[in-house]
Amino acid sequence: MIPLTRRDFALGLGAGIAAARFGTARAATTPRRGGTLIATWGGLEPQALFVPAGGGSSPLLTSSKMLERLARMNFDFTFSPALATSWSISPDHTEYTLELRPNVTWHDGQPFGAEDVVFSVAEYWSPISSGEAWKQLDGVEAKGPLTVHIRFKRPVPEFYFFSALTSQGGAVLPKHVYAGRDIITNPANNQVIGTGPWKFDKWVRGSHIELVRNEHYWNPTLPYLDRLIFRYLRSPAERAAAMEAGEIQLGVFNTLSPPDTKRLAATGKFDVTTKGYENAQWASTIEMNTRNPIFAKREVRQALLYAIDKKFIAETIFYGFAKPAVGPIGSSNTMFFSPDMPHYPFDPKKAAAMLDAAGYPRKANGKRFSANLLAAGWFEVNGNIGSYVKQCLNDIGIDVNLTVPDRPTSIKRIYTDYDYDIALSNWANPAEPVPSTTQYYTTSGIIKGAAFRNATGFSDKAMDALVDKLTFEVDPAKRKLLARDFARLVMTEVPISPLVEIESVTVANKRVHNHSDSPDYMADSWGDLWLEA
Amino acid sequence: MPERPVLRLLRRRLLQLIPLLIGVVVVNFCLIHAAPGSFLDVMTSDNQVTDPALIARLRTTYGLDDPLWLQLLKYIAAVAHLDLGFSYRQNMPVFDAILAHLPATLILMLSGLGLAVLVGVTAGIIAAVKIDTIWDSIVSVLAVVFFATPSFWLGIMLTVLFAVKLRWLPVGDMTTLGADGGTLAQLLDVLRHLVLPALSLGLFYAAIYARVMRSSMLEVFRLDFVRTARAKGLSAARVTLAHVVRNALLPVVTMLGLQMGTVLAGSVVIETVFAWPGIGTLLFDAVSTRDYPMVLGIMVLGSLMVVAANLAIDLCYLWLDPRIEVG
Amino acid sequence: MARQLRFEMTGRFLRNRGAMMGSLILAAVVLTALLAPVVYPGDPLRIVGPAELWPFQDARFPLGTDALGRDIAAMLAHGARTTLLIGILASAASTVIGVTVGAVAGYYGGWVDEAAMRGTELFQTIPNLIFILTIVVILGPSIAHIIIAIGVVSWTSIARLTRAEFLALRNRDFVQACRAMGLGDVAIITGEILPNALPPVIVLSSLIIAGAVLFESAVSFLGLGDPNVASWGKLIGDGRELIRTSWYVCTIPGLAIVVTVLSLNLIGDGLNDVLNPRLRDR
Repeated sequence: MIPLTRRDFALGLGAGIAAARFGTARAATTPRRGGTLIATWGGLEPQALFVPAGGGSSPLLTSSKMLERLARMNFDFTFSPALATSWSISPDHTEYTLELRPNVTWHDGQPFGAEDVVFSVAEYWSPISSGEAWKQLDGVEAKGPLTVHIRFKRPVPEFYFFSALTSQGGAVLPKHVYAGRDIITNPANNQVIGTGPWKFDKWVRGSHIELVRNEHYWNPTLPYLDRLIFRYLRSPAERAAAMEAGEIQLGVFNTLSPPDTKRLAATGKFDVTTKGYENAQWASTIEMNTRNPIFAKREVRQALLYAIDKKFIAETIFYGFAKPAVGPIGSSNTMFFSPDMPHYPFDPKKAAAMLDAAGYPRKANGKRFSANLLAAGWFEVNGNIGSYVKQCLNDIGIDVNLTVPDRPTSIKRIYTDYDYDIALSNWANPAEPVPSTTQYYTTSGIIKGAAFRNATGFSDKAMDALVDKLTFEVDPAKRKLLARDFARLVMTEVPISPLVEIESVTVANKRVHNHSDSPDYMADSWGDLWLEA
Repeated sequence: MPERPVLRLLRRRLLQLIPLLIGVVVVNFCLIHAAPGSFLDVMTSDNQVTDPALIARLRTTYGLDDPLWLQLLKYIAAVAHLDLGFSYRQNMPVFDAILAHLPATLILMLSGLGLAVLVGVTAGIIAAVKIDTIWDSIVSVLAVVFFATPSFWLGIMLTVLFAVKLRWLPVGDMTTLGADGGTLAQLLDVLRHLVLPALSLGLFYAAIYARVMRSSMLEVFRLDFVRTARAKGLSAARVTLAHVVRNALLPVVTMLGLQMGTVLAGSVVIETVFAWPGIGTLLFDAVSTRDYPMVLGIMVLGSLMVVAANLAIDLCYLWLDPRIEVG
Repeated sequence: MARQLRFEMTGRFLRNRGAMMGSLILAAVVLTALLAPVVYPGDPLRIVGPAELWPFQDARFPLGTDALGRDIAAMLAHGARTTLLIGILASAASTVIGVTVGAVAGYYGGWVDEAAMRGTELFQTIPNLIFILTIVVILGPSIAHIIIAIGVVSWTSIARLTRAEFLALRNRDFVQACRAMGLGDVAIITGEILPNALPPVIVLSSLIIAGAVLFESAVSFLGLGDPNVASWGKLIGDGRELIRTSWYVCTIPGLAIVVTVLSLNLIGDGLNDVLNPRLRDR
């Protein structure tokens, strides 16, 4: 584990607060043992402490403090050991051998070993939590008490493999607790037994969850704190009040409203950072249903992108906590990002001309055609983007009926019924583009009823071939080029493309140290957090 | 209080309750199942589950493969045992989840109503006794205004004034985080948090009660027994308090019973304004995740509360005016 | 109704100060609603200026702009249309349902009456706003669905009142005479009894408009309104995040609701006085 010594704070590019990066001048102090830290996040109480099949960010936030993964991703997209200490890869990239950490015990005192990992791969990761990533799995076996051997049918790139290990679905489960019982409905999901630095203590429904220090953690110096409490508050204003009063010390993933974030940052009593979300790049997306013959035309899709001012969305609707997106691979993803993409600067005249050329001139009533615009209501801000996009499209002569359905209805209309012409949605892409990002574009990504995939019906042989190559290419340099080609093709075809990259923000009281020190910080174990006296 | 009418009343009411509750369950069950997007869509998409076999297994686990009428019958049978089903969202029995959030809502409802009755009845008495004076006018104008004010907006305005500008009271929630101290300190803390929500909820009803109390006071003033009492030489003040108020309270009590459902619904909205950790929080989460058993459970329990309140009101009637034949 | 009586009632209404004031306010609201498309043509939800402009700061936007830079005055004016439309149609819907149920129950009596009254009780038992929210969530957020939802929960009082009137009227001589003449039930209900039962029902309907306006504002406030139209409740809901900096965004539409509901209530009270002379001295 590499605790960061230098901490960067970048805030709201294009926002009033300055895009400047400034380091803290605070002297590096030695960590203090003890104390209780109260944390919160920008969402609600989880449905369960641990939701094996995923369940969104809230159960991930709690479960990742108790359940650990085999490795940990670093900011430079290399990997450092966690429950696995070393690994070897066969030259053809079809076999991976992992050596596990010795002397690790589960919270109930049972020893951790290879059988737990074999069970997790075969019974949990592959069938339940991350099936797409483990599609090529051929077999997994224990070669010794602390050695695990995994075979694949086809070559698996190293980064792809470790992305799966460190992904949100990569928690190692105790075989002795879960074997023989259904994992998804197992009561242990609310009495989590893990190997992590934090042990479950109690959950006061509607209020908070308390975790206590694991006295037998494999890293004897951790955790520094005695207690970690997650407090759940419904309204951002309430969270702001609690953070200002010092009642809550750490808030991850957009705990506060943008105006409050700026206000608290200006007091100088808080660290406000956008670090810690590099492996979960959120974006606002626009997708067009190619089953509608109008949107089957690439020129129409491109024209619509010219009609929308991405800067306005970033600066006014997101108060500067967003920036116009470049492509499907986010700019913080230094592993695969390439800046040179086809782009669509705001130009309504050009949009109108393209629609004229595509065979949709304005009719006598001034309209070209009408479209159903769906803004997915899981984030309130999407409704505002919807109003704005409606106005943009009206201006170029498209008649728009806007709906902002709640989460279940949105999911059903976009991914099951394909009942939309244009949809405004979101994605959160990890650094590894396969399969999370690519499945929005591949023909195999069209699965009726499966959410967050190809809902546009876009199907293109060149795209499928490119993604196939990217999936099985093991040379990192070549992969980066393939990923660039993929992103370019996406930004040319634009069946679904990002409008703006959303800046996720962490706000921490200055007393809190060692926060935001990994690229998916919400899902990290937080053992090294400490609190100044 | 005579023993037998009470028992007869209870028996009658309880017998009426059964078809009523079944009706509530059926209506809401049908309504909720007419919704597009089942909870399974939410769950599987949240969890990125696409394996058809796994989806099928989940369907069976949650009994979704049964025909709708069978699901309904099973549900009614379960409700009869106070089993409101299992909430996949909260991952606990619906009944337990509601029970955990109920106290907060009850505190808000009862303090809101208590305030409404206290303020409303007092104002109504003042207006009636001092009829056609400035006091009467003030009460009338205030009552008309608050009767027209949406409670959620009043809540926001009170927050702007007392929490944001003056900083006298907290913006929301029920307790201060990490606040230590004895029972008394905690109680005071809750009270501080309760002031604004209770006012927002209660003033609307205070307006109603003030109007009702005023007119029913005036009505009672005209009744024979008041004249008789006056003739007997009791002082005017004692007549007012002892007889008139007691008799004039009847319509207020009636309203109280009729409005119990409205108050519950109103507190749900107020809870969202003040982040009050009650049933409202639970309901919005349940509705937006299609947590059917939870939504149904809240509806059924809410209706039950209304029925119970009406029963209590009937009993109050017997106390206030034994002559009334309840039924 | 004799002409003289009608004159007297009109006079009584005009003498009622509250009712007169209510009528004037409501007339202003109606005028605003009618003139909105003239004064603020086009979509009121358009972003037209800088965000969070305070009232009176810029003559172009006398009531300021919201978080996105939409003209609050334009949204307020168009919101009046939405509010009145939903209020009146929802009240009409609940009156139709309520009168139908009440008339049938009161006219036929017996088990029909019993069933109808149990049904009414059922709908009275379910907490009203929770029921409305659930219906809107399930049907989807649109003006029509909000009207239906409010109609479905607001008809019970009308049904009870209509039933009571019918019970009182059904055995009157003129009804008996009609029966003897062989007139059908439908003809008697709609042609003979209903016109006599209607006046108090109309008073109640006017009060239901006020309730419907409050319900609509709550639904929109909670984010379940139709996103294509301007609504006062939605404006309040959107403005909630701004209470620390721009509280006027919440305040202005709220005042509009208060004033409108107030005027409707005053008119309802006035009508009540006119149609129930027994109470007029209060």
